Amino acid sequence: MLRCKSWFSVIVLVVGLSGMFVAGTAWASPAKKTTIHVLVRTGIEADGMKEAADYYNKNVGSKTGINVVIDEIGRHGYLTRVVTMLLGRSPKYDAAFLLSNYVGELASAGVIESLDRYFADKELYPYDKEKVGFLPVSFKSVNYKGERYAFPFVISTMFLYYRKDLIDNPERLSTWDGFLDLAKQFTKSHNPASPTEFGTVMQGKSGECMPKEWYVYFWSFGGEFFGPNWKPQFNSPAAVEALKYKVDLVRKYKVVPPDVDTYEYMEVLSALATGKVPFAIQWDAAYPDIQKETEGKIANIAIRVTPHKEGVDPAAFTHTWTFPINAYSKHKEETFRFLAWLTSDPEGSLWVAKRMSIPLPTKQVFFNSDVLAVNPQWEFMFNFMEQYGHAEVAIPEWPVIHDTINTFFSLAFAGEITPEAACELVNTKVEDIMKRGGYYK
Amino acid sequence: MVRAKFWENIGKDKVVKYFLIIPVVLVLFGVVIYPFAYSVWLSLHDVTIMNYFHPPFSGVDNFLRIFRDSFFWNSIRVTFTYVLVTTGIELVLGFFLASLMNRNVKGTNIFIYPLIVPLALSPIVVGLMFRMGLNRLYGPISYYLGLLNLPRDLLSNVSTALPTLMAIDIWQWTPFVFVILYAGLQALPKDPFEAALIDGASGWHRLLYITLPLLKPVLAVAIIFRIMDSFKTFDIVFILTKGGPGKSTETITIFIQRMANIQGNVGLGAATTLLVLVFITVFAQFYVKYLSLGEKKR
Repeated sequence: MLRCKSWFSVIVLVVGLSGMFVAGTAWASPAKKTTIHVLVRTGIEADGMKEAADYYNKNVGSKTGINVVIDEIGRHGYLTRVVTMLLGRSPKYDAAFLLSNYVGELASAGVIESLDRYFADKELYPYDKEKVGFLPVSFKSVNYKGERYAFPFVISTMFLYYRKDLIDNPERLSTWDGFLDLAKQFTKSHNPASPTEFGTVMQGKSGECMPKEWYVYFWSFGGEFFGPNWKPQFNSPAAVEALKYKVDLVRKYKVVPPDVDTYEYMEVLSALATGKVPFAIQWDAAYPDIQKETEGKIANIAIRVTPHKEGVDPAAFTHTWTFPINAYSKHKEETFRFLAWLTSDPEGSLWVAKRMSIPLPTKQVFFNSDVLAVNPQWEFMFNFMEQYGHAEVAIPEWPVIHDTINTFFSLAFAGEITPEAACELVNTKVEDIMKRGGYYK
Repeated sequence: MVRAKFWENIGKDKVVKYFLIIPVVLVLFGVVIYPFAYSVWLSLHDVTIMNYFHPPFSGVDNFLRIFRDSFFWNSIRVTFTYVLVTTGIELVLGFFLASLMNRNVKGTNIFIYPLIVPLALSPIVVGLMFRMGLNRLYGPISYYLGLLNLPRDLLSNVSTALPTLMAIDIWQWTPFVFVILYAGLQALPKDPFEAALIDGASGWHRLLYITLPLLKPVLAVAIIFRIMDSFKTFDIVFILTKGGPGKSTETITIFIQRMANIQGNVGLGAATTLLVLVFITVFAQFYVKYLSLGEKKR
C-alpha cells in the first residue's frame, strides 16, 4: 500500500512539473510565427536558399509572420527522395525543389497543389504579372491540364561554348554541317596538325542528360515529339537524322573521345575548362565555372546559339527547377507568399538573382542592370530562350518516355542497333505508353 | 480462473520469455515482415506514381510483363556473370594472399595494412576515383594504358565494360575475403599439419586434404557474404556506367531502380524484386544443401 502511494506521488510530481514547463514555455514565447519548411538539395542551391531565408526572416518575416526554414538532403538520389516524401503524404515539408519533368506526374497523383487560385488572389500575389514577366516557356513546363502547379525558379538551357583563340569564324558553327566540318578540323585523326585531339565532346552517358542533349539536335533538325492527336513522331525523318548525326560523331567520324558514353556534365565541363576541345554543347550553369577556370590560361570561352539544320530554327532546350507546394502542407498560403516573394517580388527576386546568381526566368531579373553586371551571359540566354525555347512535354507519362528514349538510344550509341531501328523502337513503345495512358479514344 | 493463473505466472520464466521477445518481434515485423508483405501487395497491383493511392489490382500481370521484358533477362545474365566471376576470383586471390601472410615470415605483417585500404573506401568514392582515372581526356589510368598500347576506352566498349567493373570490384573486395580467410587460417590447429609433414605429405596434399576441409566453414561464410553483396552492387555501376554502354552493364539493381524510381512503375519494381528474391532463395537452398552434403560425407 505504501509502495503504491509512493509511485502515485512520483507520477503526480512528474506530470505536474511537465505541465508547468509547457505552460511556461508557451507564456514565454513571443507572438506566434508560422514556420514553413522548404526542402532543397545540398550544394549551391541549399547554400543560397539558406541565405535567402535568413534575409527573408530578418527583413520580411516580421511583417508577414512567416519564418522560413531551409532543409537540405544530398544530391545523390535527391529527386527520388522528394517524390517518395510527397507520395508519403507527409506534411513535413511545405515545398520542395523539384525538376519540371516530375510536375505532370505528381500533379496527376494529387500530391502537389494547383496554384492558379493563389495567383488569382491579389492579396496573396500582389505583383504586376507584366512587370514580373515570367518567360512563357518556363510556365509551360509547370503546366498540367491547363493549370500551374509550381513556381519556376531556376531555368536552364544549353549553349554552344567555343574557344575564341581557336575558332576565328564562329559563324561556321551556326549549322550542323559547319559544326561537323570544324569538329573534323580539330580532330587529330582527321587533321594531324590539330592543336586538340578531339573536335568536340558530348554528354553520352545513359541516364538523365543524354536524351536532353539529343532534344537540342532533334528540334533543330525540325522535329516535334508529337503530331496531331498525340501521335508520336520519334521515327520521323528529323528524329532519325538527328540521332544518326549524333551517333556518327562518335562511331563514324570519331570527332569525340571514344569513352564519351561515360560523360555527363562534369566531364564536358572539364574538357572545356582544360581546353581539351575547342567547342561543345553544355549547360548554361557551367558558364561561371568555365570563365573562372580558363581565366589567364587559355583565351576566354564564348557562347553562342546551338547549331541548326539549314532552313530550320535553332532550338533552346529549356527545363526548369521549380518549387511546387505540397498538397498536404498545413501552411499553403504562407508557403505561397514566401515563394511569390522569392520569384516575383522586386526586392526578393533581385536579391536572389544577385546573391545566388540564380537565373530566375523573369524579365524583371534577366534585364536588371545590376544582375547583368554579375551575369552578362543572361541577356543572351533570355533572348535565346524567348525566341527559340522548347520544353519537354508536361504529361505524367513523360518520365517513362524519357527513359524509353534513353534505353534505345544508348543501344544505338553502343553500336548494338542502328539509329533507324532505335527511333522505330522508341516510337512503337511511346505509342503503346500513350495508348495505355488513354490518349487515343 | 485463467486470468488469475496468468497473473500468478507473470514472474515465472515461461511467461517472462514471451514478454522479452516482444520488442524483437515488433522490430522484425516493422522492418522485415510488413515491408515484405507490402512489396507482395505492390507487385499484384498496377502501381505507378499517377495512380499511387488507388492502384487497380493486376494479379500476375506485372510478373508476366517482367518475364516478357528482354532487358530483365539481360540484367539477370549480367548480374549472375558479375556475381560468379567476382566471387570466384576474389576467393582465389584472397586465399592466395592469406596463405602468403600465414607463413608468418618476419616483417611481412606490415603489408596487411595497405592491402586492406580499398576495403576502407566507400563504393561511391571508389566509383568516382575510377571514373576520373579512366577518363580518356585526362585520366591517369587511361594515360598509362595508352603508354602500354592497351585499349583506353574500357568503360565505353560493350565487350570490356563489364570486365572493367568486375576488376574494380575485385580490387576493392579481395581484401575482405583475405581478412576472413587469414583469420581462419590463423585459427586452424597445428597438429594435423605437423602429422602430415611427418608422414611426408606434399604442400599440395596438405592444401587439398587438410587446409581446405578445415577451412570450409570460413570459406562458406566468405562466399555467402560476397555473393549477397555482389548481388546488391549498385553504387559502382551507377557512378561509372549507369548500365551502359547499351545495356551491357545493367545489373538487376540498376534495372529495378530504372523501373521503380525513374519510370515511377512501383508495381513492376516490386515484382522484379520478388523474382530476384526467388532466384536467390533457390540458389541459397542448393548452396546450403551442398554444404550439408559435404558435412554428412565427413
